[in-house]
Amino acid sequence: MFYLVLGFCTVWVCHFAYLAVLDRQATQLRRRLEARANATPDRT
Amino acid sequence: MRRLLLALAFLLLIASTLIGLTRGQIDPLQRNILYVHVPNSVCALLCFVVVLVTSVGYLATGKQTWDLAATAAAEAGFVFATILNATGMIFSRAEWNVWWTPSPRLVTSAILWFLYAVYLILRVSLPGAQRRAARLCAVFGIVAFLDVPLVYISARFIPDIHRPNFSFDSTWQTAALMLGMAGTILLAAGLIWLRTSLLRDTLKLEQELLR
Repeated sequence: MFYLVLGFCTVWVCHFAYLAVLDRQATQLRRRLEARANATPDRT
Repeated sequence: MRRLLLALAFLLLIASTLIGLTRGQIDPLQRNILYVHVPNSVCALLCFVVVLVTSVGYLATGKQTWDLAATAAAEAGFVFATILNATGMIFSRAEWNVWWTPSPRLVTSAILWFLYAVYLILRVSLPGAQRRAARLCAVFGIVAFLDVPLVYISARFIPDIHRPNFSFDSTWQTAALMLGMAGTILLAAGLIWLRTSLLRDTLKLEQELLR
């Protein structure tokens, strides 16, 4: 039972860790885009 | 669309786990690790096929999208190869009372993990122009693919502690494995797609900032 739980937990932890990394990168990219949009002077 | 793909993948994985641990349970209990070990192993190999195809595509056309897709596939493949080796070791400990043994399948699988790791290290550490680094990584991706057929044939043609295949007793067990396989392949596709578009957007932003 211990090894079964360990095996399944390893899989889910790895998948969610990678998804968390991707989510963090997406958030950083969004912030950079927002900062760039705010820094661009209004030319109208 | 990507979110839908990932959500569907997780639903399939949950269904596979539920069926696998109830109706499709394999005796003894630790053998149920196969429901996650096999699909993740197949995906680790499939990701290397994607790295091969995209690397050839990059060398043939020089288009950056191929290179970004190769990077994304290598990253996802690294995650799947990590799961492959980790769950394999846990299964090995439960079944044969050893964490690891130098059998052909286990050695070639460990080499697969190291090849993915080297590819990712190369991606971030190669000096010089981006195009040159991308070309070198593409060549490495093609050469590293040679390990994939070795992993596949190792347990089939060389005497090995690892079984070449596994037969199931009931259709519930087959269904659990097939659902797990479909879910993991969808997850891999979703991760590669997501990562490729993230890399493309980041690169586009950096190029605009440099102007």
